[in-house]
Amino acid sequence: MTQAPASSASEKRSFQPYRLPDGGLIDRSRPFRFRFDRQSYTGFAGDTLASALVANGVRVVGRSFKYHRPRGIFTAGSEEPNALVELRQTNRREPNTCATTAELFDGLVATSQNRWPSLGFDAMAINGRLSPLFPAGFYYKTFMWPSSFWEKFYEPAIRRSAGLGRAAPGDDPDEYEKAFAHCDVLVIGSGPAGLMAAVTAARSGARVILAEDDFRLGGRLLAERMVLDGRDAASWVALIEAELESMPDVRIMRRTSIFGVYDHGQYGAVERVGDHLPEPPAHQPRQRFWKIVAKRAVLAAGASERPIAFAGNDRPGVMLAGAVRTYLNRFAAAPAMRLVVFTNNDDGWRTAADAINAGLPVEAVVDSRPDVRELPAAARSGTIRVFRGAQIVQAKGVRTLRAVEVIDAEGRATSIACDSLAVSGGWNPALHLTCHLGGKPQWRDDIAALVPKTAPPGMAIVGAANGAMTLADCLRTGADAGVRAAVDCGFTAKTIALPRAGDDSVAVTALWLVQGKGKAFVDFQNDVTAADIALAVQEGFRSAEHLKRYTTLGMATDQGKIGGVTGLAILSELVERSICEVGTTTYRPPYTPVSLGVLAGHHRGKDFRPTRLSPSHQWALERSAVMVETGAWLRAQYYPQPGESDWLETVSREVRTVRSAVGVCDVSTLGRIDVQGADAGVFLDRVYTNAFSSLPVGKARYGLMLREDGFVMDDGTTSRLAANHYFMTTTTANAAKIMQHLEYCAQVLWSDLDVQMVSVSEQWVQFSIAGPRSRETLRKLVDTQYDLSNEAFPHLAARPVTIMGGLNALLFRLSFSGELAYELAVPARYGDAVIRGVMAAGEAFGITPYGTEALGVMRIEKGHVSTNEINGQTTAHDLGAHRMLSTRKDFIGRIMAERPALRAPHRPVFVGFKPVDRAARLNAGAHFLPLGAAATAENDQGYMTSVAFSPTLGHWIGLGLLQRGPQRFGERVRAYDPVRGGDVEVEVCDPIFVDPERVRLNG
Amino acid sequence: MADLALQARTPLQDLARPGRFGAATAKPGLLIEERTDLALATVMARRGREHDLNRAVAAAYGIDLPHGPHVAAKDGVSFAGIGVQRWLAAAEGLVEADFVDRLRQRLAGLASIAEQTDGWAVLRLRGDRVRDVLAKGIPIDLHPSRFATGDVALTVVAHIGVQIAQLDDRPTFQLMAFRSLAASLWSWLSKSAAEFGYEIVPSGSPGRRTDRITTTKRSINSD
Amino acid sequence: MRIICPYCGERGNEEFSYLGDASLLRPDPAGAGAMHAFADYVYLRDNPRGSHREFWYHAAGCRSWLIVTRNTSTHDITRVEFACDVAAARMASFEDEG
Ligand SMILES: [Zn+2]
Repeated sequence: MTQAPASSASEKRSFQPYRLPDGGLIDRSRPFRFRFDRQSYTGFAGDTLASALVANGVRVVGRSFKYHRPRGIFTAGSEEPNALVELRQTNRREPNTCATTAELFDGLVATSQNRWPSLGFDAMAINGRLSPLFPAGFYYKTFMWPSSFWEKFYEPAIRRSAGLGRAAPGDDPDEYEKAFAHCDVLVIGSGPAGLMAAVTAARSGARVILAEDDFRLGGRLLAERMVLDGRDAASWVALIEAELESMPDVRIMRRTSIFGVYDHGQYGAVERVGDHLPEPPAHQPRQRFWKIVAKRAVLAAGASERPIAFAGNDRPGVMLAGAVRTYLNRFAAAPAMRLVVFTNNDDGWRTAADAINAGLPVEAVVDSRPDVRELPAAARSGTIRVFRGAQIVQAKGVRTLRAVEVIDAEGRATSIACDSLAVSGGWNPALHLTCHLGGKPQWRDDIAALVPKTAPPGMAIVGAANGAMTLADCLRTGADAGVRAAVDCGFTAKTIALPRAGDDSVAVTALWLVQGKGKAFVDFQNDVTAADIALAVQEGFRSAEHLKRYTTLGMATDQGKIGGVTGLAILSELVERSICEVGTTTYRPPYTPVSLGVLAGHHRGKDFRPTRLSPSHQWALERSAVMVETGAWLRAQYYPQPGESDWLETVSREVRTVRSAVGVCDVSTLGRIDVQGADAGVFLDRVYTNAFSSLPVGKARYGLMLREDGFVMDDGTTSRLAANHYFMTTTTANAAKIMQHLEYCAQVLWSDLDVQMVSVSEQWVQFSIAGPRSRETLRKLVDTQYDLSNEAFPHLAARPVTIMGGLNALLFRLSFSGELAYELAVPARYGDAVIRGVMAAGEAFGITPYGTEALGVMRIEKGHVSTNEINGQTTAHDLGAHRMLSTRKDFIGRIMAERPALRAPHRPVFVGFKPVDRAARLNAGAHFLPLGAAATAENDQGYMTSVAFSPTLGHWIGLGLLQRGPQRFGERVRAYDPVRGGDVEVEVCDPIFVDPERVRLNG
Repeated sequence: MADLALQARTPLQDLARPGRFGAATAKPGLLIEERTDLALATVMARRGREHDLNRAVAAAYGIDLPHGPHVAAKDGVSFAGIGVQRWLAAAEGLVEADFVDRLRQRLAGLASIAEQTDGWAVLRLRGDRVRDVLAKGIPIDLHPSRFATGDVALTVVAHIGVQIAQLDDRPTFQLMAFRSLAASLWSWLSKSAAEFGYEIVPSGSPGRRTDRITTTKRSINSD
Repeated sequence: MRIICPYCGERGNEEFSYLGDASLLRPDPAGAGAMHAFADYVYLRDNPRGSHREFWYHAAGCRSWLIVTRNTSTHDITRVEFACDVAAARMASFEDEG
């Protein structure tokens, strides 16, 4: 095994001193270069980062979280507590990546974590020597006071000395995506049980998804020297894999972790599409988030081995026994030169046998059971010292294991020199997914493990995940479950002969903790020791949940996969209750860490949520419009012209142009609902506070809707296009909500009415054309047979017309600005052509496009309410709209709006405000106080809802809600705004600032 | 205003420009065609006139209205079930014709009709990887055993409401979203298709006549 | 959760919006004590553990209002009906009795 050191530099780089000369599921023809902590190494295709480090003899891979103790690779799977690295560099850098699952690729760069300044010398390792100062609950106790120190001092200090790796400095350059998959049977895990479940279900005709965390199918079969049907395990796996691959309704998902179980057969999964490559190929995502819907699921997630707590059980060189076999058999990498095995079960002996088979010297097997029935052949050969009824009380060495101290059955101490210790404390079924819907595990004494008590609906649990620990049991339970799942999905079962396999003994006698001197770790990642658990119990934290919060046991990225059960067992011994009585903490998704990027998928940046664009969007961009988000819509906020210095100048110019000439604004974002049917009028009477059945055909009316609790819900104009046909508009913000409300009224409350409704918001583009020259502008657009005179087409007229030579349109005479104004709706595909047509038609009159800002300024000048006032807390009385509450009919919200408290005189009512000092600026959100009154809640009389600089009046104006407001015109109050530092004396006034006689509107 | 030519714009005019995009695969995994020739209208049965409406549609178009999420078609006219007593009627090549007006006349008193020709962006999708692309957004099962030619579904893609139908066994899917959301839908579709390579085919390219829906309705009340 | 819409078929709950107790009936606004009846209707809700009939709206699908019978502790759904059918049946039985 040991070879002479190579002389030349290049040979030295490719030399892998701990690589076995043959065997393993690696491709020796494809060497990969990689770097770990700036050192160059070589591994092979098929390696993980951990197996390549093992092959290169790298022992220390990280420092522990609290004490900064050197740590080595401990497992060969996703439960790894120590070998967490930062993978890749700069913006692709990902902290907390398990070296044990990271697939090696050529050029991989990884950096260890939790060491400062370097892995070899860690300035913080002093924590280890100061450890009496760092007991459980240390952070809670020490950093409690003074609280102001937390942000400034404690937190930054702790983050530097602890923390788990660094996040990438900039935006992640990779893409992520989401996808959906559906199947009859989802098989989770591709070990012997999972493969049998998948192949039996698939042969019966079921649509099967087989999800495997690893990049290779096979599970434990890849790590053991087992024989099935006379073949070695890997070639049996290849045979089944080939069969599954050939079936059209089977999807094999490698590198895919099922991380959560959700109601009604839904499963969350992450597929690592490009994590095994230096960077994802062009057009490929790095990871894909799958939502899988399965009629049945078979959980074949296997089991993970657990350590035994004894002093120094975290020294680099101490490794789980099954992981030692994985490195030897699957990766042909030797974690040891001189191995000792410490076990409480028969399975641990396999490690000794496999090590001998690989040609490694095994110094001793220490079995805690006094009455081991039969020794494996290797032990019988006499080359190994066997200790029965013995325990390892201490592992010695700092950066690497040097010796273990054994106390034998007679109490004699022996020190055995070794560089590696394989530990097996038994196996914990991977039952996490069975608990995501509230299931609780139960204790099984015969295997000394928690097993699932119940399964989520539709899930069968097989193999080691269910406590069936032998290969034969795994195969049998897997096959049975596959058949049953297929039958449950309506397929006829095809029985299948089970492969012949050995039925090795897996007997175990629990051993959790060996008493001794020194730290005996239970949770390696969070540095929780057996002594910390004892301290927690001593301080009264006796339930599993309290223990977890107090000691942080099980709170790291491995979520207690290594130490959780051991911690519970130690707790149960301390409190002298059974593990069942102690109970477990709650297992929640995700089972393994999930990156936020994959949860976001496509939805980042501008795709964070869908954006709605009006048909005039392209035209607005050509006009250099500044865009603003209003709900999902992107709208033109204002249209700057060359020479304008700021938005206020632009908006003021737009307002003045509308008030003096003409302007055009896209109002397509309003919700538009087509309401038809013989009872359409009756229906609208019931949903609006005012009457619509009396509205003449060809007219529009402003309507107010309440919620059933009596508060105002929405407003808008609705027109009657024909006897049985109305065209409703809603505010932009409430369009979807109103549609849902109307459907509720029609389907649930009054399903006897003949009324049909559908959104036509997308069919029409709608422009407001406002200003004294708007009629002249429209005259150039509307076909000549339509009379637009004030008499023929008065305020609130609403009729179909044709424009621009025959294009069907709807013309409404509506005004939000208070000017002579129209709204013109045309089919959306002509929106671009029509806005250009409107601009051309208005050119002679000095037309300007105006955006949402000018729209807002003009509605405030006119005292029209908007979303700021219809905010869910205001009544029709509050808004001065009580005359719109019909007394001749019922409507939604009528009864509750009559509640005395909603009509109480102290409720703030809608009025206008002007600053006494006309140069002063107003702020929305300011609260009103009587002059001279202290700024206290008792003196609060209401608040400002909307403000604008009025170019028409030349000063700021505001709208707001003020107690007894309408009776206080001319009175002065304080508009107090401590948040923005405003404190302005304002005069209460009529909310209609411009043209209160409505001369312009009717012009 | 005779000097103003009325130029219609399609929802994806600036985005779905013909050509080959995404990964340089031997053959594009997805072919995309924006359909701009469909006249569309929502048809909602008037209360108590459901049977008369069935008869009138059969008489006028030779189509049995589907009662369920299916599409029934004949001679370029189709009715897709989109809700209880609610359909989306479509007519190929009739955007500028009076399809919707004639629908109103023929079904007067039996159904409420609302024109939607301009309301939807309409895409036809086919190619070897079409189901793989759609699986990145469509949450429903499009496996041939669960969603077949003539089936329709209203659902959500990337938070965007869509209507999807399978038009033929090739298979060709028709995917529709509201016009205002066309750019967002395109962002999702183009990214999702990129790994397979995709080609945007000019609207109304040769072969589109065969895209026509060939099956008649399948009722969900098949018992 | 997955809800089987009687029109659309099985869908994820993200396509639906939830309203709550479907046993509540809008009181007669002309009836005696309408104010109290409406206050109960608007504000008072039971929060049962177990079977619950509740309104769901298939917002992203067929836009039907549905009445879903769901176990609030297990999320088991035992029945899904069109709300308009339930309303029509109630009206029919009311007329029969009347
Ligand atoms: Zn539905």
